[in-house]
Amino acid sequence: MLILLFLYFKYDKLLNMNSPTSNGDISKNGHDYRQSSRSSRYAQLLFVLFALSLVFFFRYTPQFHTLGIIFVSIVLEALPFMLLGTLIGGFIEVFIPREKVTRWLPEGRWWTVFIGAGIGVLFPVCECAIVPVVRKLLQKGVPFSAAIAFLLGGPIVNPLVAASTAVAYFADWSIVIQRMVFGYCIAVGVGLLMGLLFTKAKAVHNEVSCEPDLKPAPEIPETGKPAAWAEKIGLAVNHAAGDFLDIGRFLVIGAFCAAVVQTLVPRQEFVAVMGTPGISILIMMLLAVLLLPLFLISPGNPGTF
Amino acid sequence: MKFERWLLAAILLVPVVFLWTIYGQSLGSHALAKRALDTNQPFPIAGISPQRSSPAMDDKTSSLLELMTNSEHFNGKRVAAEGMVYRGGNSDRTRFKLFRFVVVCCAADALPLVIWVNSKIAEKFNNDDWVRVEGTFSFETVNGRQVASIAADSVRPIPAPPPEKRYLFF
Repeated sequence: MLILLFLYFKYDKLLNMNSPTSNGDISKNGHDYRQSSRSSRYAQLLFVLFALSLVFFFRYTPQFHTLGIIFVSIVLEALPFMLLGTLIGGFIEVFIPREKVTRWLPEGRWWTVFIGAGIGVLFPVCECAIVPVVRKLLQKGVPFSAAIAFLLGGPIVNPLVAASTAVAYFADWSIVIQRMVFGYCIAVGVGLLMGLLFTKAKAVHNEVSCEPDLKPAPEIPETGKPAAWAEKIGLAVNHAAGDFLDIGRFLVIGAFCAAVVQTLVPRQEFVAVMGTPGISILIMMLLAVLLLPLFLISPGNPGTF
Repeated sequence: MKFERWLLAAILLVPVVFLWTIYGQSLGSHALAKRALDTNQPFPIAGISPQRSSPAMDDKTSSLLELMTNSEHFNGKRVAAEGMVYRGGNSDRTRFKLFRFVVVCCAADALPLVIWVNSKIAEKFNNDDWVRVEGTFSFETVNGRQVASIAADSVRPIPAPPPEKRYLFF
């Protein structure tokens, strides 16, 4: 049930990622709080009730302690990175004008995918941080396929990951090079594929960035004069705070699911399955969904399993 | 929408509630049973040099991390080690597993280090008891695998260390 909830949230998130103004209310500071659909709200409520009932009924059992320790430590470890990502997103929102983005990465050009997948080299962002950043880039008019390529490639193809991989594998450079090259190729491939399969309007629910006038922007002064720096920074932080709260709940729910799997499923069983190459890839894909938050936060740790 | 805001706050408070309920707890034999891999070395430790023993220990005591990373060096020598007891489903009354968790990144990736302890008084101890074991370090074969073990001449209970000293760190 939890897994279904998690999948549901992720799906919902992707679809709603770019629809801040469609049905969200706009608070005083200009951040658009997205409003979930009715069923998504019930699912989130169910999560809270389920988690609190675990606390109520099982808080003295060793299983609960294991669950709680893993859950809290995943959340604590991921939060700073997510904060960083939302801050970057906030600054992109305020400081990078739309026209520049569309000039650098024009809509409808296939080669933008190759740039998107490689942005991480100049602009290293980890997996926890990248979702808010990509969300903002999409709103700024970055082509959909290039944004997907950055979403996948950014956290792999960057100097920090190269360094931590080198440390994790005891300076085995062939693994570092393979990770970078294949990561880049997969990001480009999936980006191109997604560009072929979906249009931006179709993939991103209630696309606003195609019609810039639709997005009310209370933060931009109507006098036409550029806002003062301090004011702009304040706005960026406000956007970041709003995004942080908005996305934070998915981190909490994801971390909880990961902790449940880690508490209930013995690792020995993973190892037993890993012997069969075909199945092991399928299992890893399944695990990537189930344990996403865990993989996200430990790029330098080869020994998790 | 008010309900939405309350829901958001409630979800974000869930980890805080959990943090409060687990305060002072640490990973124990339940986590060990889920995480232990049935191999000699639970993870590739060769090539990593651990920090020297944790501050709680005197010169004579080796941490399990030191024993496992320099196991060849300690083979046949007298050692003393501290850790928790795991009896598992094993009906053998003269042995138990001495374990501690090693944290690389955070508790979510903590991995157990395990040494078998052979002792006549093994049955006096229960899961998760903290003990200090003194004896001779060696290797033995259990179920076809080479494992580290201590032939203990003394096993005595010790008070559980404070939470921040229960894990070993790379």
